[in-house]
Amino acid sequence: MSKSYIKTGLFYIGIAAITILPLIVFLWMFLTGLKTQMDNLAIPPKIIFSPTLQNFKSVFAQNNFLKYLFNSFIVAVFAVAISLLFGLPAAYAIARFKMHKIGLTLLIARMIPFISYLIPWFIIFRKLRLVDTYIALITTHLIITLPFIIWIMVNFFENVPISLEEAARIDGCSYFQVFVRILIPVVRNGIFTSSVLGFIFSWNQFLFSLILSGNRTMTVPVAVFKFISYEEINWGGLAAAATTITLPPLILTLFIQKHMIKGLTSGAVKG
Amino acid sequence: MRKTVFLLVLLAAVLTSPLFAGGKQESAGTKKAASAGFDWKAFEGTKIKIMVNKHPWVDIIKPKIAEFEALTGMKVELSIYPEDQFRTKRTVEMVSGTSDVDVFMLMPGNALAQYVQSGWLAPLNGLMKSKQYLWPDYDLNDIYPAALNAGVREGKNYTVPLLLETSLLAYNKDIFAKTGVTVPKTMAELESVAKKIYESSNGDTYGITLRGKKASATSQWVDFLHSFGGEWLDSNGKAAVDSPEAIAATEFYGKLLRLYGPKSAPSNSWYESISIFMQGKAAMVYDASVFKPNYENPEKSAVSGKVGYAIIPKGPAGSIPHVSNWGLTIYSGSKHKEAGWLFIQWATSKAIALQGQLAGIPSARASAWSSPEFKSKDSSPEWTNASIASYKVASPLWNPPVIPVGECRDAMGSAIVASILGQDVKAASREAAKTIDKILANSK
Amino acid sequence: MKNRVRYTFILPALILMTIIVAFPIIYNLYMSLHIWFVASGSGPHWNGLKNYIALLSDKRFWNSIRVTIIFTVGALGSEVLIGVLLALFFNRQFKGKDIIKTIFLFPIAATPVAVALIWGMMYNYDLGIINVLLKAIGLPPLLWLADPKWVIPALIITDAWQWTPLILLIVLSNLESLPTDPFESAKVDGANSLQVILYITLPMVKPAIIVAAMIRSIDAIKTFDLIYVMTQGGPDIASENLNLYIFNMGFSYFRMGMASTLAIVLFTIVMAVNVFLAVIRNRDVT
Repeated sequence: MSKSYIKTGLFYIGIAAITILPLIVFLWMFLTGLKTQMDNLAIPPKIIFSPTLQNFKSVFAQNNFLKYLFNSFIVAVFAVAISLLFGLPAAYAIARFKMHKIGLTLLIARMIPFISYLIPWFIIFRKLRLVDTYIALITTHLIITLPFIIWIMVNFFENVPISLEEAARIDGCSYFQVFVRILIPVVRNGIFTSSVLGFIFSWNQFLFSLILSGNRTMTVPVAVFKFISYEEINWGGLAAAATTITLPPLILTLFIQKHMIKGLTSGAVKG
Repeated sequence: MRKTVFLLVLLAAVLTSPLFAGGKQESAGTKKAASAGFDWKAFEGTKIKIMVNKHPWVDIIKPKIAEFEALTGMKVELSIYPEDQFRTKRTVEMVSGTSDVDVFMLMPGNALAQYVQSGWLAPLNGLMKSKQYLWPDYDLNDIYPAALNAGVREGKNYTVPLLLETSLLAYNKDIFAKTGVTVPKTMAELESVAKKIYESSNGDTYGITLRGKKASATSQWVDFLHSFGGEWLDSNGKAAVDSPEAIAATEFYGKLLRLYGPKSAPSNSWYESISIFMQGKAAMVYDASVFKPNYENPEKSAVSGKVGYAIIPKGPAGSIPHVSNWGLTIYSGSKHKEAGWLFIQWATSKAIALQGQLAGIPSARASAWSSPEFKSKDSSPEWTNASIASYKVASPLWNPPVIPVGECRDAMGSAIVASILGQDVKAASREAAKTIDKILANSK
Repeated sequence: MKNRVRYTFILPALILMTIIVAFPIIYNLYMSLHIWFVASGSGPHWNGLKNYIALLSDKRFWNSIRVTIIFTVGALGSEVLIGVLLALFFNRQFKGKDIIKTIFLFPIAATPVAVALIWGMMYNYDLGIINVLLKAIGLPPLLWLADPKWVIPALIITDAWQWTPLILLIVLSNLESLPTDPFESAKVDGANSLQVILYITLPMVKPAIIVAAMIRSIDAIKTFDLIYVMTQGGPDIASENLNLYIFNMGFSYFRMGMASTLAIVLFTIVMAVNVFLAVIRNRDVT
């Protein structure tokens, strides 16, 4: 009896020890953001200090951070919306008509080093006067979101029993009507999951935004570098900004955690 | 190859002459400027795009942009990027050939050759002589010739300097007093002082901190190179970084850091390096003179008020620091060149130069250095004197005068890192020279 | 009818992808056969396959290949090993399992730039928390990002921190969906738990592990954000992987032709690795 208690206790201690690892980094990031520059430069690092919200305040006050958050939001939302518009029918066709080769070719888009998109795209967008516009950023972010959403949704469509469609078609529905009225509601969990994941991937994108955004459309992963100033690295400001930009993906994760595991794993498990 | 900068002649005259002191004082605002009959509003309604990097000078002009907009009726869109991102962004803008930027910042010593050869810059000579667009109070002659001439290529002006900086040895007076050492005058003394401080503190205090992060290290290493009698390139334009003098300089630079410097030296750029000095963890730092305001800022620096400044110690070839400057320049494809020129004149005017000087940014204008306001408020005459002494003997060459500057700096940076790590400096320098020659051969 | 339907559904996405992807691919292939030293002011000129041949004698290219391989193998290896072990450890019923799964989602969702910035601070020699902890348990502090020998391990640790949870969750959810019969019959046959894991569990989840490795390998080979933010390839070029080298070749040295050549090489490597993994997986499945 007592032996099994010890065993259970050890198991939970083991779990706690493992689980602290992902958490402690976020905790340290947050605490660094709460310290003044002098506290951050103290040796050894101060565990006890009087926290200040100054870094977080200046993130929003000095550097127009709200605008950059808004930019990231707009780009991610539109990239996801357009990806759904084009990706859902494609995913359905791939699943229903077994066009897996086409599915695989879509993945090639992800395999191309993003860096090799940069110069050609920059030239095109310049010619079209689209650099530093949402259109340019959204278009490039489709590279990430569209194949991903198709890839996830294929699995969801494959799980829909074909009898459901056939029954509807006997009732006189066209393929398109079946798709919109029957299938979309059935796979809504998948749509939700893939949308949120697509949103997170777009939100986190750095390289495209570095080159193709400007003052008006700069997204947060690029804007965070504004805290590396000419004179010294502002640890508190950087940590506060890092906390701020990574908070939205973390909160979204809380909302979709169950579906997210499914979304990330279903592709892999079914492959 | 090496040219001495004859600034001081001019400077000393201005500084000592009672005639000038107070005589040429500039009224603070730019509003009065309109009075001279010069039409600041010639481009009313025009919108110009300015691209700059995050720099203390930008902190000075950023809040004043509204004044410029009020003065001219123009609209200014100022994009600020940290240095690395700035260079990347600027390159991409230029390479695309369709950029809509009008004015941007450029370090002539770094990129002028390349930008001119690529045809990305508009010559400024016409605008500088233009009756219509040259502001009568601008006073081009007030700008140090060395700084202005750094922006000249093939007889044409391309940049207007917004500051003129040099490198200085900054030292922590408290640590010097505690250890009982004096300011080193020669390279040998520099090493013995660094050694004494490091050893007497049992390694708690570094003797000196210098940049060690590949390309960025070359900006200060070059002063050791010159002071030891070495050069980037020989008279035939071939790499000379494997000459005995150059190898000695590279060896010395690496030894200082390896034996008496911070362990993290190979990954330290200027900000990590000066941070170590500002925490009081290193007794000396040799880096750009523009960092004085950082050393002296009590909110960020533990050594403010305790810092002394000196020129680089003498090597076998003497004390040979370098001067460099950031300039403003106009994109050749700009549709608002004249409007951009108005902005440049305003941003490099005497009034702004003085504001910068007061904030610790070494101005490229003689009037700022000689202004009574600066003299009376000068918190660190030691810095001022060391800067002037450094200008007097400085070389304008801190990068090889070639187009692929970045590649050559990276190649040499590898040898510097090898030296810091205690590897075979001779072999590493030969390798660097070979690489540089290959780079140059591939750049025609 | 069916044909028309299938193409109506898939064509818009295909056309969109072709527009976005095709131009850059063609442009890169074309430029990879040219010398285009943008800084010289001259346009691109034809060089045939000489760019590819020049790479063979480029020490920095081979260095970047070495860094790419060490980083990818190290990151992928440690992520798969630790991820699978943890998945086996967590593969049982216990209180709070859902909460723990959620916690492991956080690193995956976190913005890579933010992760890299924070780890960069934690690795700081004088002020970083990691060295403070090392000293606290009596170990000497390490230079981490400043030491050519430690910089790649340091990057691998960060990468593993962010991506081991992905492998863990993929494998765990696969474990949870396995049928119970084989395990029961194995127990009846008297197999011990190690034997069960080695001969029954692992072979059953192998396809999932390989697919997870595929996903990670695509991203690990072309890692950019992490290295760009933490080391920019330094010290010197000790952590310059192929992707960083492309970035420097194109955006620091302005040799766009050569940068395109390198990009094609990187693309080929990513494709080859994926084809290889796909072949392994298909061999196992059938």
